[in-house]
Amino acid sequence: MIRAEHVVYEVSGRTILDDISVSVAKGTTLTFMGLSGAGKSTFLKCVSGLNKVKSGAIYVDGQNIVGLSEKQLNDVRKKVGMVFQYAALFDSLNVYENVSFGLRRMNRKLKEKEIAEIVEKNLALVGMSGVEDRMPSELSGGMKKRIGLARALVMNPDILLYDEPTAGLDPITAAAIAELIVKMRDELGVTSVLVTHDVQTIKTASDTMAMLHEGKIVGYGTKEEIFAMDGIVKQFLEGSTEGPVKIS
Amino acid sequence: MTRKKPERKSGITTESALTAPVKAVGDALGAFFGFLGETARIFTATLILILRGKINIRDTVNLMASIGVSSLPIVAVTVMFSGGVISLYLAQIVVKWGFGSYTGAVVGISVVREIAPILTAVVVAARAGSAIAAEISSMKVTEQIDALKALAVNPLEYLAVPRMVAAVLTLPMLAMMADVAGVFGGYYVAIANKVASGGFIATFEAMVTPRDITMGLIKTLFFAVVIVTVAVQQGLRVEGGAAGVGKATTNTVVLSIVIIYILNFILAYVMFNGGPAVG
Repeated sequence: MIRAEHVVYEVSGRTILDDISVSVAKGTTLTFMGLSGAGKSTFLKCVSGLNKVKSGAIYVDGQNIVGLSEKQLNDVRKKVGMVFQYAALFDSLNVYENVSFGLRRMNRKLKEKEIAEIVEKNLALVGMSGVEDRMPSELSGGMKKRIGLARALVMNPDILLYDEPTAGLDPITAAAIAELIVKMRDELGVTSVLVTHDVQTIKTASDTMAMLHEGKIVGYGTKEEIFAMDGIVKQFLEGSTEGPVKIS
Repeated sequence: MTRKKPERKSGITTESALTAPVKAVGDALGAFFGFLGETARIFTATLILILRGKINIRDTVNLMASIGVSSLPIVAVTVMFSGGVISLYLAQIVVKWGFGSYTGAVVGISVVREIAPILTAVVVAARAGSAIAAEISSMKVTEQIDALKALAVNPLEYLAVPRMVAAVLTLPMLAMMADVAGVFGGYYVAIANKVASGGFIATFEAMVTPRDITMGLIKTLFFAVVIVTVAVQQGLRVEGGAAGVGKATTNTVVLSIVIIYILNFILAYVMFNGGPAVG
């Protein structure tokens, strides 16, 4: 469903992603983990075409998105939903308008009643019914992330990209979000790429995992294989200061 | 243990002193042409979207109300007092020479050709241009622009098009009201300074042509395009957090005003054929 081959991404001559090759099978979740600044979110934006890679190929549903024009990318983006780190809800729109935003623009033939039904259904799916009239500033961090997920879900995407969906949340809300990610995979058959450094979310939501360190993949495999690894991967998963990575 | 030789150190300093200004000029030119290229790209892309009819009427009307309502009181007050102050200086001089009635002509031409269009544009740049830049730059730093793209929405279609159309429609209307406010201010100050009411009105009618008023209003169309294009460009290029938003907002006001004044000179030269103010 998603395949990245030798992806290199640079900003102002600085290499952020160096020779990244991973693949995500249909209906599974690949988790990218790593320290802050490792390049995890950057990779996610490369997959959605928001970042233009220097070299390599990224296949989304069989189509290489590298080098596509914005118009061509928009066709690919219709299959891809993205949940942003801080939800990125539109400040000036209420919850209903936020969730229906893409739907309204992508499918102009839909009647208001049909839009309302789709919004209601997806808000219920993420456990956020009854907040349609609230503004983003009136929502907690966890609520915003759920609304962000609902906004992505209304487009009925085949692929969901989650950027730090549990960052800054309390453990209970974080667990609820992680379970929601699993629900999306199991009930809707969505293929997902999840970026996080929350070990509990990694354990709950991942099928396969990749560990990024300084722009390179230092561990890649199934959840079981990754949890059996030594070195940086082990140090990260154990949250230890002892190991190859020294924080000064 | 080795020590650096003084000559070597001196050589580096000399080289740096020579290359630093060249580098600074190069950076400034790069930034200038980068700005020109980026604004040209945004303007062209926005214009194409407008010509293709990608205009959200509801957003545009809301923005027209927002730009108009937020700017009208400031425009009216500033232009009214500017008309008044011209009248004040002029009346003090011309009344002594027996040409008091010409205050109407001079105030009229000054207001409709220059003061109303320019001050309207400056106020809108400060009030609405800064708001546009602040809104877009905030959206950029909070990933809302990325969210638009991820939802397959062209940010220029959603952000620049309604603002451009709203500004282009609103600025001439504001300038028209500014014309009235400026002449009104000039008239009352002139009367207070012993200029005959009939004389003021007669010279105003004789010298201020519909062409003067129209050209003044046409200028504001160009100014509207400048304000919105600069605000969108500055908003979209922002980097960093709150500091970046503040910088984008300030830059928008400064750049817009500078460009408006330069453009005003060019437009005045072209529209009035480089000729005398009255002719």
